[in-house]
Amino acid sequence: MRYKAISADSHVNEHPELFIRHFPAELRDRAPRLIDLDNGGQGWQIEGTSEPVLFSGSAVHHRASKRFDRANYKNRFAEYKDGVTKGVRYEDILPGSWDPVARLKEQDEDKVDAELLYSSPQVWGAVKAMEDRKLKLACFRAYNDWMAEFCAHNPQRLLGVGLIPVTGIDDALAEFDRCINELKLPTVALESYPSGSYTDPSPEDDRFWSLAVEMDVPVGLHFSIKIPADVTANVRKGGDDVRKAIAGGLFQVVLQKMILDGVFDRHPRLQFVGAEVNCGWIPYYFQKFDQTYKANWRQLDNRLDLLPSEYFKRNVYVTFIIDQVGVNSRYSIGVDRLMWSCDFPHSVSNWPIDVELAHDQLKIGKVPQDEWERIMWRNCADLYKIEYEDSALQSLKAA
Amino acid sequence: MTAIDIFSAASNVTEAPDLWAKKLPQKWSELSPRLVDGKDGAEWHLGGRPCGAPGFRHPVNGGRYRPTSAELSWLASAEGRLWLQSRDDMVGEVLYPNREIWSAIAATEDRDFIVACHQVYNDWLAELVSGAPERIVGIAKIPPTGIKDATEELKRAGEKLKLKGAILDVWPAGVEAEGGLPESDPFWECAAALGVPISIHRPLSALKDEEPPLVAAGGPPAFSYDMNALVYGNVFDRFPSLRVVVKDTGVGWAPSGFEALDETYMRMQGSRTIELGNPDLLPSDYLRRFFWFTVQDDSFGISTRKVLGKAHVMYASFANTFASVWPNSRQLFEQLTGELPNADREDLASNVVSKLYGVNSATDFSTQEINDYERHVLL
Repeated sequence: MRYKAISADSHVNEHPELFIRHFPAELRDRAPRLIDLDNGGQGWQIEGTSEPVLFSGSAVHHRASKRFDRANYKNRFAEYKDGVTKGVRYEDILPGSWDPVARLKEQDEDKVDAELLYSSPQVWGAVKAMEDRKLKLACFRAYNDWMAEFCAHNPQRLLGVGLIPVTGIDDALAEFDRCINELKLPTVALESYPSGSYTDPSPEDDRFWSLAVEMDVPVGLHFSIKIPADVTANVRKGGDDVRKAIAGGLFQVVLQKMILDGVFDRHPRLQFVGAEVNCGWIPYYFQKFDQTYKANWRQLDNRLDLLPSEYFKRNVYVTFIIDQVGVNSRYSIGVDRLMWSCDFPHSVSNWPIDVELAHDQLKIGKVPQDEWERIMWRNCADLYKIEYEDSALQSLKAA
Repeated sequence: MTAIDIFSAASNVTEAPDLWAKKLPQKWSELSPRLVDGKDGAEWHLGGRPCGAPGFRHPVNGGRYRPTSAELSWLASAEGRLWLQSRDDMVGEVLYPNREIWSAIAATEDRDFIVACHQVYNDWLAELVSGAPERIVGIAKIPPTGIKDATEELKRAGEKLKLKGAILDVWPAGVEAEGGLPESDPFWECAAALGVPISIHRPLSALKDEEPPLVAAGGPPAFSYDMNALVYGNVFDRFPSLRVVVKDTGVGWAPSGFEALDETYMRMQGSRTIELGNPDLLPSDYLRRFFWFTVQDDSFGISTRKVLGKAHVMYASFANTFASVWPNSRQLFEQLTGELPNADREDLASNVVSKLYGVNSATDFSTQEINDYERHVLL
């Protein structure tokens, strides 16, 4: 297959019957399920979370004619404001969220050739808050089973990101192995540190990183590992609580901790991906990191083999959506570290003009053709070992 | 390379050892901060408890050098300060208070004591400035004890003491005030009327000042949300001559941070409850027009300074802090700016800070200068 645009970060909305269909029989009664709400909408009822988890913002059924159209349409639903206005039902949202046939049509309309498919952050924020470990683990396994089914419809265009359970290192290792070797997913994403901690790396994590290197599989982290359980309700209340909760688990925070913990020294071939993190922040992030490390390394417990920025250039990749500062700073970041994404079908996405806007920002940044290809699809394809017909070779052959 | 004068836009004072002990009323003699010599150097004590050790990075071994009280006594004088400047090849400095002592003072929760400490400090600072007004700009310390105390001390510092800047630890109306809301307006109004830029350097809703970790990645300052609160609270729409100085943060975070801020603002068009006073501007336009930034060892920030506007970025030596490279601040400046046109170097080195604080009769910025920046293309 030939590619021109691979979104390195897109999403599904979990199928309405995902958990019920894929749960073990003995736990099925307690599986997350879709329920009807008083306002006519639907939400996920998840054990341990006081309010149903809404999803309207994650699948806005609206075509953008310009940037921000879909984000602003979402806000008109007012589900984040007062929950009184008519809620959103599954039949209201883009069916490609959970139906692979519809998804391919939605990709075509967006001129996207393939997508890496991540989960719904708000659903998994609530799943992670479950107290019952077996129930939690069952959710992760069910999701990964469903994701594999979803992507089997067209493995060249639907690239599933397996989710790693947060229930401890043994579960993480087992599910990682299952995702890659049995379910044939190209990659996985963490919802915690591999040990299950949400706050710090630990020696146990090394078993996971070793497995990632052994299997030669990149490991991702989407935005933050600390999305609160009641995120919709909290956003509705306003205030800083959601922001503060999320901040502690941001990719940038986790990356800093992993670097200082020596993870990339112990696992020099580990590939770590930050999804939906954008990239304009990277030059200053690492400038300061290098400076403070060089000035103060004597006070640390752990001496690093490399400067922090060198780990980024060797081990880390990031996805961005629209980040003009980042595109303009690509040489300070590393062109080979950057992967474009559209975040479809979330409201940040500008479907069906995502690729058009991507091209606009590359034009403004005066990105030459080879870098353009790398950013739009080739870095992603190479990282995740997606097979492709090489357009460059085709050109040479034609000549 | 043409040699140019460098006026550091941010350095820290050396407090006189007897600053408070000598000037505070007798009733606080037990409580007042005092310098105590120890085996590793002098240390401030308040109420018998340690609350900060003056020191800076030793220029030779890179470790923390802690002077004795005798050394500090001299460094706190105008003569000593000018020696520090000359040794560093600076023609002047904007002098800020040190953080640790003030956290301890605030922690006493004794309003009268806290206000008195601020007044005594500002009096002392004004006296120091008077020893070399063309080379020292003093930044007054504003008490965190509520809008009345904050506004009164700002007025006194600006009108009577002729101090040219002031710094907040918390919102003028107090640490629990919501940023941007009109309860702090009397303070902003006073600052705007006096033409005194207000500096911020820590989250304004936090009682405790957090020491940053020794090794950390760069990013927006913790108080960037407070900066946004000022914009979204329409403070600059109500007081268009107000100026805010962002201290100690560098500027390399700003281009990306500003783009993200504008994007969020535009994404929320359908539901946001705030509107900027000027509908033609985005939030980042306000951050560029009404804020000034200090920068030290930030090559990325300096290379992208046009994003903030060349009239808004000032080089700072951060002398008397652990971040300082004293006595090599000039060398660092040359290293960071050597490839830039001389006009840009002069702006960074002294023009902008001189205009901001009226140093040596420098004229104010023109509107064109203030509004001259490169905003990212917001697709």
